[in-house]
Amino acid sequence: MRHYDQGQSRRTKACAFLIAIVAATVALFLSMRWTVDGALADSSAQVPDVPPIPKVIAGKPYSVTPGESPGTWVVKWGDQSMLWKAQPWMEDRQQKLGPAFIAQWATPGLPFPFEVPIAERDKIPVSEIPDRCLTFSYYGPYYNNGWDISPIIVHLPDGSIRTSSLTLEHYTSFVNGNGKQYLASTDHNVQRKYMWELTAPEELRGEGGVTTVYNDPTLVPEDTLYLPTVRRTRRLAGAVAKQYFPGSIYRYEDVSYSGALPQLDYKITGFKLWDPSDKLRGFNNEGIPANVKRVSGAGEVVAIMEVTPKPGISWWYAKRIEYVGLISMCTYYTEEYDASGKMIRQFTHLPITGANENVHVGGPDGPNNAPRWWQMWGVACVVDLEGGFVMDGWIQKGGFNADSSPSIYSETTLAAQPMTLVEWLSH
Amino acid sequence: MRIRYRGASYLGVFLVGLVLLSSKVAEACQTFDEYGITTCLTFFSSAYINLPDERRTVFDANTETFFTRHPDNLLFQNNQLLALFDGNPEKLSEAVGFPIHWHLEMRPTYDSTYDATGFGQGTYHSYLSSLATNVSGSMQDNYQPLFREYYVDLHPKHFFIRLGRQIIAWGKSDGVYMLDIINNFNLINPQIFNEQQIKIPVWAANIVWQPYPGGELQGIFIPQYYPTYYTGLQMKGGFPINGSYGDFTYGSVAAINNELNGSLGFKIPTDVNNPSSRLNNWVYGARWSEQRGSIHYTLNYLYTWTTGYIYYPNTGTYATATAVNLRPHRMNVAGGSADYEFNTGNPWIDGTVLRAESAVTIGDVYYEGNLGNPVDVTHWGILGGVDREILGDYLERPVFFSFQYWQDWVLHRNNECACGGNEDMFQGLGYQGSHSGLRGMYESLSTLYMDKTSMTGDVLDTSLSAVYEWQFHDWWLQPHVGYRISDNTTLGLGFNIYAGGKQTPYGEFTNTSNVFFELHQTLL
Repeated sequence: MRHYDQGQSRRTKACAFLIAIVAATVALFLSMRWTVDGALADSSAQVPDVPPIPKVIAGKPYSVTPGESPGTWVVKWGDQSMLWKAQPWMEDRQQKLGPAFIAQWATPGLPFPFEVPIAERDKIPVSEIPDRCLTFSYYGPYYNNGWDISPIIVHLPDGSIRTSSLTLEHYTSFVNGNGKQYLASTDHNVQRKYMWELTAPEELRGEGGVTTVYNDPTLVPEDTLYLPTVRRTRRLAGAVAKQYFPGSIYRYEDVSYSGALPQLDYKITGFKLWDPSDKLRGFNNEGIPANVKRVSGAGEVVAIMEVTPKPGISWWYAKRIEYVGLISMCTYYTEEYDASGKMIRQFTHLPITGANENVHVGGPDGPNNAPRWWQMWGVACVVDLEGGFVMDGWIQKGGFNADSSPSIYSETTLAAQPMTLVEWLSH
Repeated sequence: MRIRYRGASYLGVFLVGLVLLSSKVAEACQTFDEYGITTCLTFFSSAYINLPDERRTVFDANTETFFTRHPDNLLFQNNQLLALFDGNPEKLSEAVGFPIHWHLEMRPTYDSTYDATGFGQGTYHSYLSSLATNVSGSMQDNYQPLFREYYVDLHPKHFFIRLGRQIIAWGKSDGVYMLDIINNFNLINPQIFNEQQIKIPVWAANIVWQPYPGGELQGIFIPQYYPTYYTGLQMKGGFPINGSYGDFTYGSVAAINNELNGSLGFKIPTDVNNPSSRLNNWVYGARWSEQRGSIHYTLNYLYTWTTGYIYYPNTGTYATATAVNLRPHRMNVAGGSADYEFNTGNPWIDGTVLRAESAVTIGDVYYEGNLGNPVDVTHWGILGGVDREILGDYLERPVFFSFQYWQDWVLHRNNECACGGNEDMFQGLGYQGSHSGLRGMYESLSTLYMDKTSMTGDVLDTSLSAVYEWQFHDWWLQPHVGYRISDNTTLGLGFNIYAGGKQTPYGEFTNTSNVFFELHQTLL
């Protein structure tokens, strides 16, 4: 039996070698690396180096003038005003340009979600706000795909680290006509696809999933979850928007179900000139590495959006107040309240742009030459005011228009359990 | 004894390594960008402690007599070091024009059960020591290889090609294996759910063609056969080396081993034949998978071998057998699987996922009647499952609920059998001579799985798994709780509780019901 096995083992290895050669040869003949249709990605809009400041926002005059000391600016909107100061954690260009940096997203000719003239943005229907200002701020619909590797750290009330994870993400939105190579002919009504995978901690390594979100908000997004212990992808039971995203204290509502939800009512209650407190998580140096530069919404005019569960709906908050930048079309901050009116949570979101040194085009080692106005999420923090937990997530390295396969949103990608961005994007 | 000391020294190396590496701040994996290599190092330890205190009767092959002895309280005490190496050779990828990735998984294991105790399984050290470690000995390249998975991934346009030793999972069922039989199992401890640990990796060319998003055609070519491995399969000099010395030896295995070793008054020699690696002995598989709207489905075909060796009597019947040949039998498996999620706008049913899997297996072999002569059968299995998150309105983290019903019909027997009574019935895993150990043409079981995470960061995970067989009336419960103390350390506690007749597939382990502990320590 043993001699027999040894002979067989030699033959087996020979056969395996033969298979390898044949397969590699076939692959070489068939191989012509896929190319992302870069022409579809919208990089044509021209944004001035120093964008002009809008004159009127939400019906009131808006102005920016230099402050008394260097690096400061006085921003006025209606009868409100603030003193803008550069912060070391801001992107370099924002530090240099001041509030005019934000004004780049008021440039005429920019695509959705910036196509509405700045003077008209206060009239955008409220039902569109969540998608325009969170979903498409996370990843813009004006490029073929966005991708990143992101640490997520959960802190105990005493500040020590409870859990940390590392997530790979790949995202495509189809609303501007980009990314069509990722859609099957049967993929009707799909707004976007999102894929994630944990590479750490070790206990969760390989866990991942694909979320497909539909244009019809009444359709529950489709979720799959890959479980490495059984090497199999499961359909996840849907309707989980209010639940925690695995391994974090984000909710699905914060991450992938970020559009207007049919269970909730939305209304705009007012506008204000936003001067965020430097005590807000993400708007200071606390918890985020110093090299993670990001965009502050300071000096923006924000819409104040109130979100409440529809009658009869049980939700994790009784009221949510969101502060939504009308110029950058970005939801920077939300605070949630329980039925007694007590604030129970804060969520902050600070995007990064194509000018960020951590952002690349084509792949992790690609050039740092994306259009400067392109946005993607950069930092997202949660402060749990009831439990005392704090969570920080940020993009360690990210970018646009990876040369990824049209079939990347597949079980095969998840089952391969990629470990790095390079490997992740090669699927 | 030499092997015993060697095993102990391996354990020492593990423990010293654990102490040394735990003393630093650990990260999950380390990437060396300059080399394009990622490495991970993890230690995993588990211990299964027997709860009932029953004596066990086993057969001594040397004296050809049965004897009764107190069983071992330590059923299983396994220590594993998992080292992963992954690389993306950029220059090679650029040279060939498409991305290439390689993976190597090394998993040395040592089970102290066979060395650490002076009674129970430790008493049978000379018989069972080959199960203790995969660093040397027969386990090394077969059912628990030291180098488990090692392969190269090629990513030419519209293709994913994986060449090397690997695990390939099919189907949409949990714990029921109709389509998912590409990798057979190491069932030394059949209670482990983590299939990454117990599936036997196979040499394979796994080629996936992705003609369009959502559609995939997979072709699988496997040149070498690895049978399912279980305690009692070990052979020496043409005879099984033990009857049921292992704590998880199936009753049917113990019974046939005892007979081969002389429990009927005479010994029956055996020989083992593996299929050669000629092309006509390879395993071939094809799978088409697609997402069409809300339905995800697969169509599968596999030309393969029975999952384990079949014990063929040389005369065609055990009534007159003087020798037994162990070899697998060819079988064809054709089937499919699908899942569907309700998305109707009705909150009562939306989010409910239906799963189905079915396969017709032609050429499988069951042991028929009291004699247990092997009979070629065609059988049809079908599974339906429903998954749903429940109590979502009341719990911050809802309960995942999953229920499955599986049934299997024997549609056709390809040869008639004079099987010594109870013809048309087939021996189950626990069969040792009684009618209660036989299944009919029809068999069914149900599974229930519930899981809930708790605490910030989902660091506490509680689950309950249950299996019930409708014909044998036996069942298996596994409650489990896992707590992630830190990113690097996870502790687990669980129970395996069995009930049912002594010759039923799960009931046979009633006296092996146990509590188990797990430690998962990330070192790098």
